Amino acid sequence: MSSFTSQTYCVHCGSECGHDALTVAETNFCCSGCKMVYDIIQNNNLCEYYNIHDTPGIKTIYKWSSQKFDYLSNKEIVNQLISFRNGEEEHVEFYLPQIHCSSCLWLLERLYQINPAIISSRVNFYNKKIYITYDSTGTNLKEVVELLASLAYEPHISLDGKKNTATEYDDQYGLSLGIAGFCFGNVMLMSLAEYFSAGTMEYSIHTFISIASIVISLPSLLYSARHFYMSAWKGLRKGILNIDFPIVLALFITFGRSLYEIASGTGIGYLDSMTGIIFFMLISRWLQSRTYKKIFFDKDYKSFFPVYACKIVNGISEYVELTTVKAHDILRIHSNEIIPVDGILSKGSAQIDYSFVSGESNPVVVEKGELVYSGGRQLGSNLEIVVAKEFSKSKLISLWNNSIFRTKHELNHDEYDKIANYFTLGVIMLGGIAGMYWMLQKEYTYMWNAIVTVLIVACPCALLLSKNFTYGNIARILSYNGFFLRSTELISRFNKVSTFVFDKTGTLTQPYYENVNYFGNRLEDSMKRAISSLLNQSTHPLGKSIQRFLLVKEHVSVDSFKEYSGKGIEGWIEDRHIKIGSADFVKISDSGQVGSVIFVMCDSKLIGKFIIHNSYRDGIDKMFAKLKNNFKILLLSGDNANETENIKKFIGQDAVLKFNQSPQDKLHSIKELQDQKENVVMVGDGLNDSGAFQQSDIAICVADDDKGFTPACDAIIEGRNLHLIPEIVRFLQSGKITIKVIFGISAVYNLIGLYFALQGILTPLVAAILMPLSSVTIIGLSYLWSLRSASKLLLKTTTL
Amino acid sequence: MKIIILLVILSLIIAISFLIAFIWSVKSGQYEDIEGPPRRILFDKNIKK
Repeated sequence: MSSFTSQTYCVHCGSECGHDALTVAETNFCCSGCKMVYDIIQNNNLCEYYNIHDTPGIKTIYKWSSQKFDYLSNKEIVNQLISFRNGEEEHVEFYLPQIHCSSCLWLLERLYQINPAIISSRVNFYNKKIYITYDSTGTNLKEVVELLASLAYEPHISLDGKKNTATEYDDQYGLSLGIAGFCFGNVMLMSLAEYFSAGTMEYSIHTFISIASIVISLPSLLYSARHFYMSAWKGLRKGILNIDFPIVLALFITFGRSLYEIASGTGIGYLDSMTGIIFFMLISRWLQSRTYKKIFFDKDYKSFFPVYACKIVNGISEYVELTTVKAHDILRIHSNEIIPVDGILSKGSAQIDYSFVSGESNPVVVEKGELVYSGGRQLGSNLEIVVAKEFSKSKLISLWNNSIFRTKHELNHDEYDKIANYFTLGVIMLGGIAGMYWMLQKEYTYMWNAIVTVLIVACPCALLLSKNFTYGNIARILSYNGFFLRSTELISRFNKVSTFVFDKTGTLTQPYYENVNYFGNRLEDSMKRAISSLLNQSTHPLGKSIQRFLLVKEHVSVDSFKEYSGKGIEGWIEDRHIKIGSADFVKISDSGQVGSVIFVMCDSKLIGKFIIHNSYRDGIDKMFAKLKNNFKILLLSGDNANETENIKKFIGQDAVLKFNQSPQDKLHSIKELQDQKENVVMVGDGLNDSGAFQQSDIAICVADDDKGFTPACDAIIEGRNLHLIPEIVRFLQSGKITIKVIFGISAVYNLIGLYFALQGILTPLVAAILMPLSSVTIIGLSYLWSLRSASKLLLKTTTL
Repeated sequence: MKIIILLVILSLIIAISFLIAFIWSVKSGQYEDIEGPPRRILFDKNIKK
């Protein structure tokens, strides 16, 4: 079936086909899960799915049990999830994080071909959502969800799944931006007539154009600019002059001055410059807000737990809301489900993966009568537990609600905002001095001109624009590389970073235990048993990995067993001589392979080999090599110290590693570093890192697709892009230089403007040329510069 | 030269009608999913069973 050399890839998901591979009619699958999805798609004539995009499928890692969605047959639950009901028609909306390509879109909008009772399904690709309408006489919510899950698009249903506030925000900017653009363009056209007529314009036309300019600029001033008013007002109420205050001030002064000029018949004012400022400032805001949209930060424990629990009452199971579960209730936990509450195991054998809660990498075996804690995932068969504490009092939840973990990161305004504020003060003083000068000269017209036009021309827009655009571009480029910032205000914090702290389990390692593949002759059950029995004699971690992979339950006795440290083991099992170990040990030459290769020999004949891919993420050795040059590195793991040697290979022999760290220990370690004036970035994934996240200066959360949970953090990085961290940090730091250069250039424009303004001879024409020109220069330069820095660091600069 | 006033009014009417069209397009949700439609348009409408 599989051979030593040729490698095949799954037609569904594109993964390498290992030992589980299935080949049906020359079609290769990596696992039965993929084949099942393929069969559904093929039986419904939907094979076009595979033509639109190569291997579009999603590999299902956790197989769901048939009872998993039973809770969706409960009427009350259905009513909560359904967004709209029209007679027999029910509308429902799901978040499907798996949506990633055109094929997904194509298949998900053809659900009606598989289940005719589905009237329509519509995908919102950008927000990864699907809107389904179905006929409730022909099907029900449970069947719809099961259909999605069977296609490997399992919807994300959680306690707070209905909240979605991020979307509207962006639309408002869009509308404001469009209106601001309209106003800017049209006011500019009006002003051009005035500029080119050089004062020869008929009075009636002049009046008409002036009034039209005022009217057209109103929507921009009253509607589009409201974002600045609201933010400035919020700041004022807290007693802070924030960055929007000088903008609002400049806008009002410009508008007032323009009204005065028009009313007094001395000119047409600076309305074109004013609408221009609003337009360009809004572009920069809009650019920044776009990055937030795709990802939801601060997902708390509620999105991690299932919504409903399966409660056993008098031997009959029923689904109840998790929050109504009381102590002494009996709950059934299905295979691969998350244990929602602390309880005592009463039935079944538990093998629980606590990696997310504690950082331990190996599943814990729990005996009947022992405690199981919420947040663990049951890997074995179904369980029953007696609830010890209700949901809100469970260990995990109380940990989450612990006050030391709840100290909020204040999003301070950064140094540029401070500079901008000083800048504004400076400008006001400059205007005042110029005014005084002209007053002493008794040139009162010049005095007023100087005071007002200095403020108009030198508002801190240039500084803000260069910052906002550069940060917006940086955030956008990083999002193409799987790195999402909560807020662009965080970018300047990266300039001070001195120490990186990493978590191990789930951060440096892959989220699934091992990636073991077998190549060679087919393994008979007796051979599997023999291998497993022999390995049972050893404590070597690779042997344990192979044992977990083989899943042999009964072991037989081994004779003349001998272990050669670091090489392999041999022994006699059922009259066969089995040797398991490295290429050296079995005396064959092996070409270079990624990962550990373990050979199996039976009676001096090579049977096959196990390839155990490193469970560490790809490229992290290079990542550490690069990071080490500029930063201190510390590893804090909740796991035991077994992996010390492996990790030292990555980080270096002198690395500081701390194991068996509780969430509190992690928090304290980071605090200690900070007391030594270190600026700490914490890179972690799970709940056990949330304390460290809160304490650190910057918290980066590593997320893999299937986890619906990210603790409160400042940035999210996709697991497969973790190795890009050194480049990402350098790119973030390059923002500082970019801003400086661009600000320098725009300062030249401002100085030219000031030159005219201080003499009291700044005309609307000069302002109208200088303002947009400096804005466009900033936008263009910031864009090109970010692109150049990104491609220098080999970061992706497009979505492709 | 007074004709210019009429021309400006006419051009503004045209511009404002485009603005209204833009506002309508935003309000009707055409910008909610800007990645889906460009992909969707490439699919064949009716696949034969």
